Amino acid sequence: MKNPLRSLFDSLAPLFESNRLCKPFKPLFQATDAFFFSGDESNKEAPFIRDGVDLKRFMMTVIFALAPCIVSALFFFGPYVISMIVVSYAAGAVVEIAFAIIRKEEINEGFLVSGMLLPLILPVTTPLWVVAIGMAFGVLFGKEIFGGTGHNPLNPALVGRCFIFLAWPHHTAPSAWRAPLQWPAQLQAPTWLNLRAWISTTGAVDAATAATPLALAKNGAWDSVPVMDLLTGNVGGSVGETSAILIILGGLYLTWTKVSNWRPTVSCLAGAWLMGVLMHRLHPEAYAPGWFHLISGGLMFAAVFMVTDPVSGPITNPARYVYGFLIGVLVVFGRCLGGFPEWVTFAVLLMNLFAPLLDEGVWALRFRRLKQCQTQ
Amino acid sequence: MRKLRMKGGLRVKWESRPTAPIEALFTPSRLRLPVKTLRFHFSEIKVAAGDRVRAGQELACAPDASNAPLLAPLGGTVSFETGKKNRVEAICLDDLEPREPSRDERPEPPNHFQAETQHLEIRRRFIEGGGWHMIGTFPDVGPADPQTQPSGVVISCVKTEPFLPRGHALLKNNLREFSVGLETLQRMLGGYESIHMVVGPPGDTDLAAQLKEHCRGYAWLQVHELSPTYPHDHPAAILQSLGTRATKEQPYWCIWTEGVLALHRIVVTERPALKRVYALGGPGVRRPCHVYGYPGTPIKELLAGRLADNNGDYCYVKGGIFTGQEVDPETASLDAEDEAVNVLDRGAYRRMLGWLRPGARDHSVTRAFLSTFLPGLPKRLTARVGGEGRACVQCGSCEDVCPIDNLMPYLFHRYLPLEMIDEMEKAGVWLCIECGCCSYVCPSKIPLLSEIKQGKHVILEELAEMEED
Repeated sequence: MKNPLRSLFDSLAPLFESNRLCKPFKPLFQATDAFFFSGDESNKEAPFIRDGVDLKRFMMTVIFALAPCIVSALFFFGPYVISMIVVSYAAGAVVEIAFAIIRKEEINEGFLVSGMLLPLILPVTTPLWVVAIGMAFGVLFGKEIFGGTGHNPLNPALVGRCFIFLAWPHHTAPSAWRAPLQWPAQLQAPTWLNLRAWISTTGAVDAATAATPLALAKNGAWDSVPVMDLLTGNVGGSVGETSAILIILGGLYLTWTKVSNWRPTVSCLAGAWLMGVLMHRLHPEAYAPGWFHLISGGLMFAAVFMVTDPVSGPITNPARYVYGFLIGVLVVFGRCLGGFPEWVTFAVLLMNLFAPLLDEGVWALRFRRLKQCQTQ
Repeated sequence: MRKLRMKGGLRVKWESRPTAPIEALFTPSRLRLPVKTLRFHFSEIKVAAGDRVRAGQELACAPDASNAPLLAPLGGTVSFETGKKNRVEAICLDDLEPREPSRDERPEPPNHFQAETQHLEIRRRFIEGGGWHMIGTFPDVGPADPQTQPSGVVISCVKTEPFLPRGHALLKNNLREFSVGLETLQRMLGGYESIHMVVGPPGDTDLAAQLKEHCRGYAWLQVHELSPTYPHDHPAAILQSLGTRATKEQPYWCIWTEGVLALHRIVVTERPALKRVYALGGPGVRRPCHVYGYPGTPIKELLAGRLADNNGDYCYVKGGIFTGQEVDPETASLDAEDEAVNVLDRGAYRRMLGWLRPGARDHSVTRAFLSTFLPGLPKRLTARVGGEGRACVQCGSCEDVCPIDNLMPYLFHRYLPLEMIDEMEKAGVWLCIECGCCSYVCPSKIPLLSEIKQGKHVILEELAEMEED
């Protein structure tokens, strides 16, 4: 018996082919159809078999890896995080669909990940309209103007983050950051059944302000933050970035599934640690030690989920080592000597621009070796 | 015995692998021999329509390939299948004489080749016995030139591409013939070329150990162990692992198990190679197996009674699953170089929430499926693309799986639309062995193999234009 949903899509398909009003929305119909049903195309030329993974599965694996961070975000910052995610997806989808209609192309799965990443790197005090504009900006100027998924030189979520940071700095000012919910508030009814908790930037009840670990470190008070809090996520910060342990868990899952390359992550953390050790050696009272930089702020989250973005990063493995390492070094350099307490966004975006150059260097070496092989 | 270490490749336990025992000889009702195969063009027709020929008689020869003959596998009455401009496309034989002729009944072998030395004489006899297409040359993909001396030979007893005839299926009960064939090969070469033989790992069967025992006294033979990873049996991958390169000026010859056995048959027992072992594999075949058969057998007849579902929606592939070609079984037949027919389920159905399915039998180079925890379970074979075509996301999977060092398939995908020919050559497009692994692993479902072939074609066209100018 034919699946009723399949029958529905089959009956609607001719409408989007021939009807003048519906035809422009064909990409949206195709995306919805592709979401529910995998394609039935078969190979007509060699090779006649293909790997079972496609981009949808790729992106969903990243979303699954983000699940611990999402749980952590909901636990520490309440249901407002869900509203941020919904608004982020909606805004990103509008831009993505608009471009798909204009270009008469299919809607790509790429924004599934960007739509989830942006809210997780924002503080819980970010208004929903700011989230929406930031996401739209990120998708538009970080991806679509370059040709869409696969053509973007910059990470779209970080472009959106950077825009929000520069356009509405008061939302990320030290006075704006909220402390995480304290036990047992995370599981109590006022946190979840209160409408205000879902739509207000103050989040759930007991959302007091608190300096983030990086803000404390900027003032030389890095040792006032309990290490266990940094590891579990019981600190102020962007909603998805606080729990180092859960981020590492997600990262291990991504690396184990081979969806993500481990090289940029490891080299980024290595670069940050080495730079942190160096800076701490130079001025122990002013600068936090290397390990502190790894588990505070957005570095761990970026190392696992941003630096590993294959489209905006280098494609060759040697270049990935250099790329990740320099990001780590730049982050700690900026944290210690820069004006802002957090430099992850700038470091990643800056190195995104250098990624093609790093690849060019590796290609030049390989081309030389290939030339030797061909002329021997 | 040295174990060869190689880069990339795919090692998967697929479903519907042909079993080792070779089934009895299959004799069709008629034969249809295409005159154009992958490397040979038997353009010089030696018979006329209506002629009654004997098994082993020369039907045509390939003037561009040292006049290598196309021999009649069985006796029969000749007719032609013609195409555009009345060119002969296939030679058909009807009213077949099913038995192999005795020594007295065999026709005189053709004599296109002048042999001044013993090793050239052996080559002449091998060509005229219909075995020359079992020797390949590398790096140029084409017939080996019997008048030249290769700089070395690679003998592969392992066929890693699913599903070509397995080396150990051919070797079983034929070890003595194989070792005599090796000696004949050495005499055929006549020089001091390095001869490398690769065998499968021990444990799967004891044939590798038996083979090594048989070849123990051959000082001129270097035996290496190869893991059954596709396409590590390709001469390019083998030579790369040995730290050697074949060039146009110093080519290597490559010969597979069947070729060595044919050397024994043709040169030592003086019988032409008229029948072959074919692999029938894939989930569309009820009992995947090896079978003796004749070139020219119509595929429809070969598969009659063997399909898993006579009404199934199948993709029929002549050759291996990675490098073969899809054919219409109603009209296609096996040519002189074919070795296998694989039948795959087309998979033309839409799976609900496919991206969420556990995939216990789906293979992936990633570990995104449940099949990661079930390595012993044979993986599903289907001709489904399994996703929509997307832009390259620079995952690097194609580079990781490519068996050739320093080759970056994603670059060819970038260069081809812009016709950056110089860049394609710098990136080593001619070193690509067209194994298809890059296309297989691409999550964006980019047809990299066909793009690389197109790139090579564009370069050749450009060179042809430059020569004309």
